[in-house]
Amino acid sequence: MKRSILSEAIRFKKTAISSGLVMVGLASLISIALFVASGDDDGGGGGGPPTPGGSIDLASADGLVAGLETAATFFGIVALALFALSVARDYEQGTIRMLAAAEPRRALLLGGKLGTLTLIVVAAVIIASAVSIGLSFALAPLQEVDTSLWTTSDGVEAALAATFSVATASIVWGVFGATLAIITRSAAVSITAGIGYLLIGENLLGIAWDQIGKWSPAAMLDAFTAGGTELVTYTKALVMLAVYVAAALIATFVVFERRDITD
Amino acid sequence: MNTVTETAIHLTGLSKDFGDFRAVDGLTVDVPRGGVVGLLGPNGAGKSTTIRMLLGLIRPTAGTADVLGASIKRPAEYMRAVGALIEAPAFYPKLSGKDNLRSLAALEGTPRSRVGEVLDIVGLTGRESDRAADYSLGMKQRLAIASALLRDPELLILDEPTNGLDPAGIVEIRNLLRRLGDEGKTVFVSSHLLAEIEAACDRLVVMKRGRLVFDGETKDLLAQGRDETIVEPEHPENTKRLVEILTSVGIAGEVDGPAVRIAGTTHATPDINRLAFANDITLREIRIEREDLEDIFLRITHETEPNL
Repeated sequence: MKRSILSEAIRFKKTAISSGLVMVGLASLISIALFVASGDDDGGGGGGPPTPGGSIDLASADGLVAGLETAATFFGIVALALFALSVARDYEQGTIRMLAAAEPRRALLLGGKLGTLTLIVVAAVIIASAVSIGLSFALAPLQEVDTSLWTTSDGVEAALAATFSVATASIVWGVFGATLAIITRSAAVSITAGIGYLLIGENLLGIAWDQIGKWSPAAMLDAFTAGGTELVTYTKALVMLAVYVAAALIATFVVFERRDITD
Repeated sequence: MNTVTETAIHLTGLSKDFGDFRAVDGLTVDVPRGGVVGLLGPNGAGKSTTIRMLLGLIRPTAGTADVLGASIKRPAEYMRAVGALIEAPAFYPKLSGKDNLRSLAALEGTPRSRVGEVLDIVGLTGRESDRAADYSLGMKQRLAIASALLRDPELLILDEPTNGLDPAGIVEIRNLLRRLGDEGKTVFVSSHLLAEIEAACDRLVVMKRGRLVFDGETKDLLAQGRDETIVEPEHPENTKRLVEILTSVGIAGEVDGPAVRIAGTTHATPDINRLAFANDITLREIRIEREDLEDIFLRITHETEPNL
């Protein structure tokens, strides 16, 4: 596994940098947008900008990582695309033949690839979180946002929890992307199917059947990154996501292990 | 470490189906250790499918196979001693040739220093920092051969290694394969360049439509070559009369354009010459045509072909 990770690290050097930059850029843009919106708000400093999930109180303990939390879905999309592209490209370019000949223990090969991608996503989220926090401190005085709660133990805990949740959710998105890529062996199809289902498909299904929000993957991801919702608690979301990831990983490894590597 | 066996590759009734299509059909072959063995066959003969099965990329439908004494059901047991080039060379286009090899070396657990050595062997030193995407097909092929050599393998399995190479490159790779074979390594190489195969290989395995057509030493296959005596009169209108004259003395021939074609070389050419002269036919040329590997290959792969 270590050899596989080292090998993938050489391969993903540029991909890691570009993915990290995209995530940092997204976190920065969203953080700036939140603070700009808070300045436009009548309520002034303590008031929060409107978001799809409701108003955010930037002066609260978790206001420090509001930008990071708001960017969670975008991070997920980047992670899904990164995992799907990295896995499917090996089939599309034919490099999978070379890799499987170099490391015939396919589980180690795939494990190393997914492990490397996971490390890249975690590192990118941590860096994006740090940048988002830095920007929040820089922008707060300009918009007269009270930062006193940010430096309390609650504020630090909220920042760590948000970073953990966003990183974990991004990895879940990534694993879904890898599963689709192994099954379809196409980057375009797996990315379209993954993002299409999680962002659009599930909402459409929710219109037809409102109970889907109690257990479906996208709803669990939303509940997890939000720290729980009215329908789903944080713990339930965590458990459900663990089940989904385990099922996806089992399917991914079984298919990769058993299927012939052909063109 | 695998048990040392006399055969590098041992196939028994190996078959592979893709749906209703049987790509490899009951292949039974022994490839001895050491030397260069060619795998020949027309397109669709099942060469690449056989190679993929040997490398553990696809699983056989029936039959068994051992590589370096280990079953192909457990490729991890022998692949550490096998270097492979599978069909078209495939690399990460945005990485340099050197980084592609470094990545593979890391995956295999091969020391980094070996990367420079194999780049030197295939003649890519000086271009190793260029992106693989900028390589010509011939350079990609060299890089693929370099990747196959990375772990200094005991057995090399190469699918069309000279594809895309210029004539000088083909000779270089042929010499390299020959050298590796002479050093005691086993090289199992498929190619459609018959002259290259003839020049480099000690043994040949010939397949057609998934089945074995020939398995033996190259010289034995060449010995199956048919010779013909070509007799060409000065005036082409004399060919028919020449056939009649030869037939009257028991030499069977047939008109082939401006010449007469006689199977075999047992007929003394001076006798034919004298016979023609005695019947007022001047001969422009008498020559022996010997089937080369290409002719033999085409004949044995078409002989049982219906409607061809």
